[in-house]
Amino acid sequence: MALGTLEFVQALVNGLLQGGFFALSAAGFSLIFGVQKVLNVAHGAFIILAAFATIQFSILVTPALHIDPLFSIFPDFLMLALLGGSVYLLIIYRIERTGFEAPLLATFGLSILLEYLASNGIGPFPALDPSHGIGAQAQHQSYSSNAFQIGPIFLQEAQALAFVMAVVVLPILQLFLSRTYRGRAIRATSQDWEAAEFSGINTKAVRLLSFITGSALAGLAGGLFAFTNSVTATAGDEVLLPVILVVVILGGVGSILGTLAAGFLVGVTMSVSSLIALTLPSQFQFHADLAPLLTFLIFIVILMVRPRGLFGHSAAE
Amino acid sequence: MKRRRVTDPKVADRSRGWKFALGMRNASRITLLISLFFAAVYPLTLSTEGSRVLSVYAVYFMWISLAESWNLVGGYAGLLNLGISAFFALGGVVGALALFDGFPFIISLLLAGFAGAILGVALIPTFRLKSFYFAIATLVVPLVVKPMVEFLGNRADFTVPQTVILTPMGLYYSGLALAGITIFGAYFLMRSRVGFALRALGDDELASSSLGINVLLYKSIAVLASGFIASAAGAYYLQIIGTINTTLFQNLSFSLFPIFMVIIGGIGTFEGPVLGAVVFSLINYYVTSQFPGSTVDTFILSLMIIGVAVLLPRGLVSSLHELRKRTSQIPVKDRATASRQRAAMVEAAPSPS
Repeated sequence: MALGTLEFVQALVNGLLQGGFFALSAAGFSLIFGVQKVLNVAHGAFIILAAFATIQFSILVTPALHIDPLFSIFPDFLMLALLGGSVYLLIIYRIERTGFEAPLLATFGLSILLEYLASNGIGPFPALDPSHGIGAQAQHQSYSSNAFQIGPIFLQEAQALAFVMAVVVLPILQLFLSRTYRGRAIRATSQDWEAAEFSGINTKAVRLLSFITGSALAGLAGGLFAFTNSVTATAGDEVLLPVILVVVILGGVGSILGTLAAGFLVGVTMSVSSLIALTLPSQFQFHADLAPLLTFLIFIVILMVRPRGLFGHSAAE
Repeated sequence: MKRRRVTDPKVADRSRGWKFALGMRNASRITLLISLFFAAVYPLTLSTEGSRVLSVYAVYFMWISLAESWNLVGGYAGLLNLGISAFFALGGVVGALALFDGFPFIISLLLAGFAGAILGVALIPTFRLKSFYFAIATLVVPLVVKPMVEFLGNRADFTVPQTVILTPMGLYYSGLALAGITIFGAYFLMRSRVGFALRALGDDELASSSLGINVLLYKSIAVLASGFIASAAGAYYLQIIGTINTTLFQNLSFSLFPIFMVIIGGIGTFEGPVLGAVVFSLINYYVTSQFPGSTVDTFILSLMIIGVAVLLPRGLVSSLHELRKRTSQIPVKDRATASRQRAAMVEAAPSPS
């Protein structure tokens, strides 16, 4: 199959839209990692939790009250903020000074716990109907499958929504971090928590705030994930977490605008490399996996050349 | 602390000859030898019918090897490897391919080990990354290897025929041999120059490199040894379950359970991974047998992991030592102090940005 310019542009646009979602998912992780130095491997599970909550909302609330399921991202946001706050106070706060491994394990346990709850339909997770396959999707076709057209280019409505959300929310977050007292306290703590403490910043409150903000961002991303993808209980670990890690490191830890740029980069790389994969001879059954392979290879190469990511010395410095 | 490590009593003790050679210097080592002895004798007491029980213990040996191999890199050298599932799954795949080609089990184990060592070589460029970045790069490694394996093998499922699977008795003894070789290999490696160099650079990389330790060389040795063992454990796992699917690569559990075991047992100690793996497998087996056919065990396991992380963030052994130190003012002659110091160092380290 020959590659036309149009297909290439379409892949670029899809990649950009997808990249917005990646950036939104990764921003919260980056914030938490920057301040706490905690590798929150449960971040993918947090996103899945919010996605399931949105699906539940679209099943239970939308038919009854005729509220657009899109509004469920606000409850998602609050729910995840609450979850993040309690996780920080109950678990992370007690162990964050003992080193790197214990918080990592705690969040790993948390992610297994959430995955267990999700796959068994406990709590906010809907019991999945096996006849729908293993995944679930928000029950609102107008977002899931609608596309609008600009010239010859098609835009998936749900993806465009995620893109707009990322482009609006992340700069606001960046303004919060650079212009307000609390935001600056977060950045100070992320750079040098001891110096921040000596300057009279309540670092415990800052850590709590950053954990809450980071988790709430996972809530936003999760709400949108329910519209764009088919959600499974393990998608958080298998699909989202690797991409999040790549975006966070490429964008530079704690740099929100860097994360946005890296999200676009990763989205475009994935989309273009799956386009290239399509042109390969079809006897390779697994050509679809070429996209992640190329993306991760490019990631490792970039990391070798610039060990602190592409944008490692921007906004957070 | 540094000085004490150089004049380590274990080194000064070379004059004690065979006791040193067998590593019988303290209680945990004696316990280990005795339990290895009993593990070797135990199957002989079973009838032919009862020997089916033995396959249960195979998992123990697998976890011991995996945890011990993680500890070589993560515990001693202080390089947080979050991608050991890449080695493990690669070992399983290579082992399966070797069995397809008619090689005997032991050769498949060795070939898998060499494949793991080669993957370890591929990791060498990542050594220039600093702590967190190294951890994240290793977390991505399984995701790079997985599509490569699928692409080259042109399939995702590697099921070996029943005829090449070992009997429970063979499974048990080969597992015992694997775990035993791993344990004593790690033990003697850590008593050699390599081991001291690794611990030194785990404590302070800059200081040890300025003392003339070839950091790159010793890190490479650690990753090679660890990769060899982890991949051999993967080929052994293939014998336990009979099939390897490439989803094993992205299974976070196989990367993080070994870390969990090492932390329960005591990070950077020689007996810690063994203790941790046995405790973990015992609890896991008990819970699974209490709730047959349900997934409640996952639930309990996750609560247990969170609980251990919160209550014993420095592991069972270190926490016991701390308790002992607090109750009786006996000086702690263990690496508990070192692990606490390392924790303090991680905390005090400047932010990576």
